[in-house]
Amino acid sequence: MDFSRIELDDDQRAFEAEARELFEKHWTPDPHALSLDHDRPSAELVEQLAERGWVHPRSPRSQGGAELDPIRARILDVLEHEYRVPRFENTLILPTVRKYASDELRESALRDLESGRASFCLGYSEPDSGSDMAAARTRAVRDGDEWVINGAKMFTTYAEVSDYVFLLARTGPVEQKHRSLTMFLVPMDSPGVEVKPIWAMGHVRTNMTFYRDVRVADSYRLGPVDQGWRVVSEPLATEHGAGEGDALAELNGTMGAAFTHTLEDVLALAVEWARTTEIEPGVLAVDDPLVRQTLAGVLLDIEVAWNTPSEFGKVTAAETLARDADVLADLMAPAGVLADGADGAVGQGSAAWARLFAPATQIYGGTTNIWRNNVARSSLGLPRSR
Amino acid sequence: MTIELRRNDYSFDEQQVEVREMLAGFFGRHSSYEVVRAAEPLGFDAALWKAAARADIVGLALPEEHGGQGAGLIELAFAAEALGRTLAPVPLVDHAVATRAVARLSGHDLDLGAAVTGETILSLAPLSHRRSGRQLVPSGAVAHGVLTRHGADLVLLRRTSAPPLAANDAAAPVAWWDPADPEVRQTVLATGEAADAAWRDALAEWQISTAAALVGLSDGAVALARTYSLERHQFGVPISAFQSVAHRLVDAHEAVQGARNLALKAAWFQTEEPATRPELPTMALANATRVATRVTADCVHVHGGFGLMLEADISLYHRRSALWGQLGGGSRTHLESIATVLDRSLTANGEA
Repeated sequence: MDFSRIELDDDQRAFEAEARELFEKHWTPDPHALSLDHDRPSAELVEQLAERGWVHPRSPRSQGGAELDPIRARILDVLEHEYRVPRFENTLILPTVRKYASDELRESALRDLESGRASFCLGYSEPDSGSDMAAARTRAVRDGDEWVINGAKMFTTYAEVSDYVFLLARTGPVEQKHRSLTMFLVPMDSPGVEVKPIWAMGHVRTNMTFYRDVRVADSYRLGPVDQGWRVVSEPLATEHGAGEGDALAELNGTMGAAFTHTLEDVLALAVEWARTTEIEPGVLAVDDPLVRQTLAGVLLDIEVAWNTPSEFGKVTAAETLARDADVLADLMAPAGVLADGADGAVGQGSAAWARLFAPATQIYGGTTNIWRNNVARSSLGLPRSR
Repeated sequence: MTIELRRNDYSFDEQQVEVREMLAGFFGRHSSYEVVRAAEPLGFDAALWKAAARADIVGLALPEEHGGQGAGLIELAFAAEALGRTLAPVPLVDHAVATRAVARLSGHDLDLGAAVTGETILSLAPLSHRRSGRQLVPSGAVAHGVLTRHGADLVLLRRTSAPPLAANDAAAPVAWWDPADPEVRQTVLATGEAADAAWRDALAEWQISTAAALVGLSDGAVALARTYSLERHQFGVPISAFQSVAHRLVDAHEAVQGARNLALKAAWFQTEEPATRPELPTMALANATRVATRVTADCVHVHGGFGLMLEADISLYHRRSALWGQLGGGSRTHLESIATVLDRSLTANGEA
């Protein structure tokens, strides 16, 4: 166990200064941006980061990274949060692309995905298959040296700004479920790809994507035909938080940390409200015992979320965000429910926003129910349950 | 503005793993449910206490100069967790915390050798800084001395025989100690700022160790319920094949992991940088208490009707979970204390 302060040396401080300068020059933080888990940095900033290998800073230079040591990478991480830069990386699929990409794909796509100049979206969910991913019906049919793809994907977040979709497609009979799936990396500018926005609660955009006779060369296939389930399981393990924790990173995983940071921001705005708002003449809210008890409860919940290990950290963080956003909106009633910018809005409308955004955090990246199924098997050794 | 980085390493080193195994082994061997039941209703097993002293567990976190092993609060938390897991009927947490506090003070002639061997049992009155008058003292029915706030003083109350057990279904040896009782002798150990500082540390150590004991208690309950859910069949399958059971167990199991991490993180900060996150000890206890009460209730429920029976081992856990966590006050007390963070500048994740 070790939670000690790390004394940064002159070189590390110089690195911090260099990174700060980059963000000062190429990025305008939006103090009203509370979710950093559902947006993308500007093209200008991405280019600056890519030039330095800072999109995947720990990766070797030969793989588009900067070979940063854990401390420098952590400095970058902390600064990106301070400057409210949306999280952006391709870590989820890079190992798979590296392992399975054809020579052509390696040349055309891998290099840009490694540097971060290119980005991807996930083509897993469909209108009729969400948690039951292996029931996907989007079909890929071989035609000579090409594949013809037809179908529809749901909740393809970032599709409107992505270069590729990491697509799970059916290449045999649906009845064979896991045994007739194949993975493709499909360029989003392929003819026949259509992106339709879906606006979700909390001002979040995601998409429906349609694939009509989309033709891609066989070189865009990742891994063997009909072995897609195995290929896709590798990034899923990453998405579910495995392999994290180098004694510097947050214990509760990248998604868990993102949601917990969001709740911290909402709480900080509520505390600011309590310090500046009289709940009755002459009595600041922050001096009222019930208000103090409520805020202390949220402080405690946040500390618990930070201490919940990653295999469940995402679940705890998502459910804590949902519960406590409601608690904080209620605390600031009636104005707590007003939108940011409205006459009389409090705390930048953050609690009202967070309670609408929070349900998504319990779904994307795997629903909390599926996570519980996984933990039941992996940590407790319980039988498969439905 | 520059950033501050901290390590965030929850892992145990080799020696810590070894100590945890030794402690789990001792309590696993010596504190069976038969032993736990036989010690009811008082909740004290003198033979087990002697065995723990012989195994250097009573003196584990007591100073070497008095014959102890010289380990710190983190190891004491390990011991508390191992004790909690088996519901061992010995006053280890209260005794170790009180003895450590007395040992840190100078200018008294108390014989701490007898405390290290367990012949003299000490405890503390964790709410005495908030209310004067008689105190409901953990391990008070087996203690010879109780550390108490009295105005600006920190005093040790002593009596020749312990006061009677205050009856409770947790089989916890709690008792009322009244400073005004003519049988009680008082020795002032510190006063003013020295007393404040000593009490602050003692209370923090008690909160953290008690939280660790509750983590162990919760973990033991989850282990029982997990086993039961695999053995008990209904509708032709083990009941853990039903999500209503499995998900309840997952939530309980994960709540325990988080509570353990929080308690040990609090122990680390209390040991290394007590002024950095002064709210952590209270947070650790507040969380462990709500986790323990919820988890044991859920684990009773997993056992169905059998869980309600006094002869079901799971009932031993649920009977204890509330009392262990609430002798230092309920959530109102805890949250009131945590709320003092609001009067300082609010920092995120302990970082500036």
